[in-house]
Amino acid sequence: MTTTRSNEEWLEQLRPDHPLSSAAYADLSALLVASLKKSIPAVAAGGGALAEDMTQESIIRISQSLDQFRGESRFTTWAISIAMRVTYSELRRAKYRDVSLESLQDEGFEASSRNEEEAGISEDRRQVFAVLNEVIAEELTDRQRTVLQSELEGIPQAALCEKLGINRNALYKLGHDSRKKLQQRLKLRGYTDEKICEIFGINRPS
Amino acid sequence: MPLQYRHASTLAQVLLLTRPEELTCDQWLEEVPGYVELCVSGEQIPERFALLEHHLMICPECAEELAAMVTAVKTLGDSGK
Repeated sequence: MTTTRSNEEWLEQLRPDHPLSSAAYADLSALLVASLKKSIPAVAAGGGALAEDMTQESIIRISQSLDQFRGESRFTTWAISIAMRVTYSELRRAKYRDVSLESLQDEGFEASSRNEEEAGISEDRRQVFAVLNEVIAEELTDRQRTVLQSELEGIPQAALCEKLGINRNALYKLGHDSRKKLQQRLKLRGYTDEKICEIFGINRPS
Repeated sequence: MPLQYRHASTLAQVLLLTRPEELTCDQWLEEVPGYVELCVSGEQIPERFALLEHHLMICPECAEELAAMVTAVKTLGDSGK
């Protein structure tokens, strides 16, 4: 059974030199194992060993990040949020570990031929598509193109980060910069948000 | 490598959501614990979480992580308070 602690008590007791450090780590570990099993189906299906492994990795990350706890929530909520990030990242990486980025992208491009895809596309959409392709080809960097296309193919960020050797922040910025450029260029060509919604039959986000 | 037609609609939707300032996934993770507790308690979400909620529309992976966080805190949070 775990002991109830205030945020301050957690922070104090998780310091390695604190006399209650072992008990605090044991309680945090029990909480995270139970949380991961309860909330991530792949962890529940993977048995106790996977939950233990992910908890250990999470605890290392948490203990290295104690100074970053801002006190805007319960300590346990903060710890759970880190454990979810650590665990999902590892699960997503593992799924794509033996697959090359090139093969994932090639697979996507082979999935349907261009002629089949072009059938039934309206002229308006074809024109937007041409603008997007032009900007992608001429104004994005190789890395931005890779990130944009990989994200559209549904390749997880953790897997992409590993293959590109960058962190998730850098990856997000590459994607964000690409989106901003495409958005700006569409607007310069007269494609307002309203027009894009009309052409693609989608509701304007609020 | 050109864009595929089958991705055009998805990309159009994401571009409509794109803002000059967005949270990165790491910034989102720093902000999310307080948001998780509001979700669990059912309290009204303050305006200061607008960027966090916007990120959820752009990033399905953070949205998946949020769902797991809420489940965990809802069912287990009290045991380790």
